[in-house]
Amino acid sequence: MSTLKKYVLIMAIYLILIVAVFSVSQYSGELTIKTKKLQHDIQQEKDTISVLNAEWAYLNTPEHIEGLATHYLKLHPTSARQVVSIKDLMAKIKVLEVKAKKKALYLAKLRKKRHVKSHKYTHKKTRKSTHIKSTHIKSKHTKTKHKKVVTKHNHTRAKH
Amino acid sequence: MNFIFNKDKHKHNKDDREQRYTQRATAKIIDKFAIQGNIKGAIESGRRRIKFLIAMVLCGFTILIWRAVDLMVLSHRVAPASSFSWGFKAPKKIGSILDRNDVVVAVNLPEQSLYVNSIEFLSQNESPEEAADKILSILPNLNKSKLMKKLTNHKSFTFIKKLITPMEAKKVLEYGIVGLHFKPDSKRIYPQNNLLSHVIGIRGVDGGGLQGVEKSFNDLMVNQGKDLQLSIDVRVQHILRSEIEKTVEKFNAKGGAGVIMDVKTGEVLGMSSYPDYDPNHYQNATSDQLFNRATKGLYEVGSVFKAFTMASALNSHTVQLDDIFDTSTPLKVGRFKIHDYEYFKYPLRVPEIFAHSSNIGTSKIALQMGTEIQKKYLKELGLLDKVDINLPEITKPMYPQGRRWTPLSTMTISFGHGIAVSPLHVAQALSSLVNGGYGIKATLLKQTKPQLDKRIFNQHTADTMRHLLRTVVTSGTGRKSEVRGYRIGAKTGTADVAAKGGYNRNARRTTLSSVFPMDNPKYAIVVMIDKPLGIKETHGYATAGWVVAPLVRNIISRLGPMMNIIPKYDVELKPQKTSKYYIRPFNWNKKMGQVTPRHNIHKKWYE
Repeated sequence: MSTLKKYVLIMAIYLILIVAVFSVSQYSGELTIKTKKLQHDIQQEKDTISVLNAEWAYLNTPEHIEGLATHYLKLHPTSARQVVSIKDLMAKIKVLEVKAKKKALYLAKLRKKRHVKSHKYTHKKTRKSTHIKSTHIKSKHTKTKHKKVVTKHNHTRAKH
Repeated sequence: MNFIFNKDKHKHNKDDREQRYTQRATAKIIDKFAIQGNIKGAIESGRRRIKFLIAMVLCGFTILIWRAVDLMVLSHRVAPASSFSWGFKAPKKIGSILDRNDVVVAVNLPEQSLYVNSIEFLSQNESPEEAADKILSILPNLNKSKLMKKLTNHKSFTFIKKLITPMEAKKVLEYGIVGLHFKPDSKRIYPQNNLLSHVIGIRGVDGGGLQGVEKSFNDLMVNQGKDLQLSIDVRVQHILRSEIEKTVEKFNAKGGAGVIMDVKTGEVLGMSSYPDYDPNHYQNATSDQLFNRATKGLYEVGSVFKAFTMASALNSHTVQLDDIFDTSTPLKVGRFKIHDYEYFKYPLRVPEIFAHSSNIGTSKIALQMGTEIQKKYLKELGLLDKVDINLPEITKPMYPQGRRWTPLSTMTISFGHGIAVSPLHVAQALSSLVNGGYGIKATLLKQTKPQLDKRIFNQHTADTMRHLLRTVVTSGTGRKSEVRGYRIGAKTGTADVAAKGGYNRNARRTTLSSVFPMDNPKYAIVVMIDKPLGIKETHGYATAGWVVAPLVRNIISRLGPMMNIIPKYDVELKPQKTSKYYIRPFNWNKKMGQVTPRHNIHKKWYE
């Protein structure tokens, strides 16, 4: 290869390298600008978030919330009586359960007694007593009316 | 192949012949039109000039290309980020202040400052007066003549107004006045307004902290750009502030202050001083509003000090609970007399002296204890030094120095006269009494672990003090602070206000230091109301039991459920007659043997 050709080749390689470096540098420059723009956008978003946070904190000030709650919800601060521990609550539930069982037993007993009494009563006066009936009576204006017929038997039960 | 070669050779010969022929023809023409003499010389010099010109142009281009390569490749620089924001550097980040639950209490928001480039403004044909009128219609607080000067001062940068609102900036932009620009800036905003004014403090227009944590943590927030998390809880702070405000207005008092502190970590959950100010508009605040009564105000807190005297006396084994002291007559010391609010005809036991708040009894105990022991304990409790808290507004307590601390001083200091401390001092010392006897440092920073210092009182004294403080609420002067179920302990203090040459008997300072729940103390609350006036509802009384005790009751009844403190109802309301903490009523000797406790519940509150 002649020296001229060698020089031309070296020059060509130089040129290619220069172009390559230049384009890479341009590309990286563009990317840097893009990054800076993104960073700027992020900062702007952060600023917006901080503004919104401040606004949220302002709207959530205890005084503001208290005012709104008392005005619109008729709420008041929780009193000590409204605070119960889970342990106490379970104990209370147990007590209530026992009470409810006792009451149920008592009621059942009472019902049984009454049933016996009423059974005796009805056995004696079966012929005279009638049950509650609702009869349809046609009025003058041809409208149907529900009328309760209170029987003698019902009166007597009420007296008991 | 030979054929091809021969053909090429033949072609080559032909080209040579053509060239020779052309050369000969050219020579003939030159000879025919021979240019000789001066004309030839002129053409030659022309040629040289053209060559020189081409060389120069090439040289120039080479330099330009080299410079371009240098700019783009060798010394390549990227445009700075600030070029995206009006050519100014973005304002420095200043850290925010958050409460213990991450609620924002102070934050920097982006705003803009308006400035004028006068050279640019004057290059246009707009009249300065018209422009000034336009600006004044948006920013009416500006001075017109000063504004005109700024517009025509031939300078490239003069501030018209720092930190204008986004709405104002938008209006200025709409007018389109040439030469008016905006500099990106940031403004400190306090969303909680008055709520935390004395804790946070203020930050000046230049961005420097002037008061409160804004000043003490300026380096952290400005230079390091870090956020600051406080121990304050805005909900607790709101309860404290609103109740103090209500009481001050109700009793037409001069002011008030309060501190709520965690007794094991020393964290200040709430600290309020009333009247307060809005840090967003601190320029309008008066000196009275700017004054932090909770940390900088020094007051004689009165009988609240009896708690410290009792604890010192019990811990130093000077007195036992069963010791009795005669308080039936005023105590004469030289030309002075120490009085009590009510004189008991029978000698009082130590718990009774504490519960009935007897100055005479406490003075006698202090005298028995001695000045040195008193000083030692007050020093250990931090009542003789500045509070080591992260606030610039702190003061050293006032008390008699050196020899001036006479036996009379020992007696008066035992019941809180002759020594002036801040409410924060009291809260810190009270925490040490009830947290098991350990020293503690008040802090405004959120803590995760208990921060207990060295022990001041032994466990027995600490337990006894819990019982004694409880008796004040069950049977003593602090009965109005009781909230059923919350086992509150307290000590009231009513002190006459010091005036020229003595005390003003018509002006009082009422303080209540309380702790709850007493079986496992969590929070210490100290509230002080300055110069309250008696009202019809309190029968004209303006003592701590009438003014501050109901205030603390309201605070605890709101605070307890919020802090998840479970009330206990199945415990005794008062110490039983057989208990060593039993407090005999005022007319005990008249009804001797007739006093029977109303509630006969055997389960103790401290179990």
